[in-house]
Amino acid sequence: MTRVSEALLEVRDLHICYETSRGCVRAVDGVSLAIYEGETFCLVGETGCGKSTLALAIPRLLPPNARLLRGNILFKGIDLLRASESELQKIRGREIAMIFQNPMTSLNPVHTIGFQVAEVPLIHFRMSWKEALVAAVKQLGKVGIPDPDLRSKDYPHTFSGGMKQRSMIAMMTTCKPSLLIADEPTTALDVTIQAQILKLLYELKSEYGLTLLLITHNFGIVAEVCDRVGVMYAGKIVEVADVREIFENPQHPYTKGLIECVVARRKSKTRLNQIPGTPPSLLNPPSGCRFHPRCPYTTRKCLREEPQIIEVREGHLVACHNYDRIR
Amino acid sequence: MTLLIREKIKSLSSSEEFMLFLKHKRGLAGLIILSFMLFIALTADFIAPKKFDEVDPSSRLLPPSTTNVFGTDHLGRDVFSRIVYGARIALWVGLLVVLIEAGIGVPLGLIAGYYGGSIDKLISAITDMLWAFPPIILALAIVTILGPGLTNVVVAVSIVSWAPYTRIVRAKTQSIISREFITAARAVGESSLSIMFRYVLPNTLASVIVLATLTIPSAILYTTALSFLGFGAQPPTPDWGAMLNEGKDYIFKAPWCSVFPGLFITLTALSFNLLGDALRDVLDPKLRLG
Repeated sequence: MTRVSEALLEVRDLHICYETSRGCVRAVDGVSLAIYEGETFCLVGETGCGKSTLALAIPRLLPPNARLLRGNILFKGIDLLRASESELQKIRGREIAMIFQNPMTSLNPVHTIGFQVAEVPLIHFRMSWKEALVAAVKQLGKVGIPDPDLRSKDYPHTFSGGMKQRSMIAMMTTCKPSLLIADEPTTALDVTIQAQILKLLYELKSEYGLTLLLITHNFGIVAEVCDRVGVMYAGKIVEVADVREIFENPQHPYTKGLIECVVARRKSKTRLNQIPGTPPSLLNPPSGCRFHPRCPYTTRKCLREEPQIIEVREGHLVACHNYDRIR
Repeated sequence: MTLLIREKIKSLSSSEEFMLFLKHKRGLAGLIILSFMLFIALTADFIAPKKFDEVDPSSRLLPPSTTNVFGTDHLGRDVFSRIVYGARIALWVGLLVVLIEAGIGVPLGLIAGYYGGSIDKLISAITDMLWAFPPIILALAIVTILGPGLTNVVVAVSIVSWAPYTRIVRAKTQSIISREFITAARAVGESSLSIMFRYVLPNTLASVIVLATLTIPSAILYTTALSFLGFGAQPPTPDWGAMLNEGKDYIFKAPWCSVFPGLFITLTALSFNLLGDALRDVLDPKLRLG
């Protein structure tokens, strides 16, 4: 993939921690990545590796106990970490939109679906309530809500999970944002709906020219929709590459392990692979390379020294001391 | 599992909630008594046989009879007529006090719960201080400063008892703002003010309504108590509390002068309490299950 365009979003050396009674949990620890216009970037990693924190940090929606220690998030040249709340309000929903994991709880139970979708263009554009409502109904039809005219007058509890997620997508795309962050948008849905939602996101992306940041722990989704993949482990990015490169030529032992975990149609009756151990506590992460306690290729260097992320091939970054030994 | 149950319960429509309410016998009793009070208050001009301030020196302290259903007082005024007009005052005052209390308490609770930090600490400290005072004594002090009169009593009672609204709304707000749809609202660019009043407030309303129906009786009791002590409505206003006060001197000679106003105060307070309990049962899914 050739990249002539500038990065739409650039995260530089971002550090975020959560203040807890037991100390500072470093959920994101020195993450740098660039997302280019029009691509679908997938962020993959286990639960608790900091991927949702990173996603929430981009539109500055972190909970109050989160501290942004340092770093930059550049979006179209604006540093979001230094933007004021009113500047952010103009960007959120208009430029950067976000879809959440659980559609059951991400809609307001006391307002109708139509009201909630219409609210968004009403905030960002000069239009009357009626025009906003028309726009909302149109958008609801676009995301595949049957009878959008009628259903827009219904309350969220009358919608199924898939319909709620569709409404959520309608809400977040009425203003045609440039960046859509989807934080595990299909995790709470059943498998058939998952495919529909992914297809919908893909269609909207090509129609509006959205850039998609998709957060998932499902490698099936990665293979299906992504252009580039970033793998996170314990608050750090360990590998970034094009999707084909990741599957065909994974360089980091963690990425390799993750891919081997996927149930593939290979020789029958072989046991499913797993990565031994559990993700480390971010309160007190291991020394050196954070993956060393679970890594089959650990050397003495891994215990002492933290690996830097290096470009091993064009567009393929990896943070491992021994990547060349791994086959 | 709890999530599932909650979803199920949320999906109760308002008509189903109404049916549940109809099955609530005590709540229904409260509603009937309250409707009766409302009816006599609204139609007082028609059902009262005499004017509330019509003095008749020839018929003082007459016992209940067919002409004077509840008897007459020491000035010969018809007690029934005065009670009927008094219902207007009692209900109006109850409503007004609750509106003022909610007007002070709800926004403070929203602010404290939403912003947290030092604003929350300040508001909570004021609320706790207010809570620590015996309300009737504080209200007495305020009325003494403001001077007697029904308006001043309403102001005093409102000032001393908005604390429960702040507490409840604050707690509700704290639980609501941690929910995902608030993050979603922020993600589409809503301002804090808009989130507070259009997202959080409507979600707290069920609790506020229950609290309001439960505080109306105490508002009525406080105002009548202050009127009884002579601070509230001044004669010849047919306030139930003032009537009790006037009747107390004749309690052995003409008990009807104080018994009937007392009975109506009790009934009104009781009806609101029954109604509030029923509303709480119907609107609170957890109590409904248990």
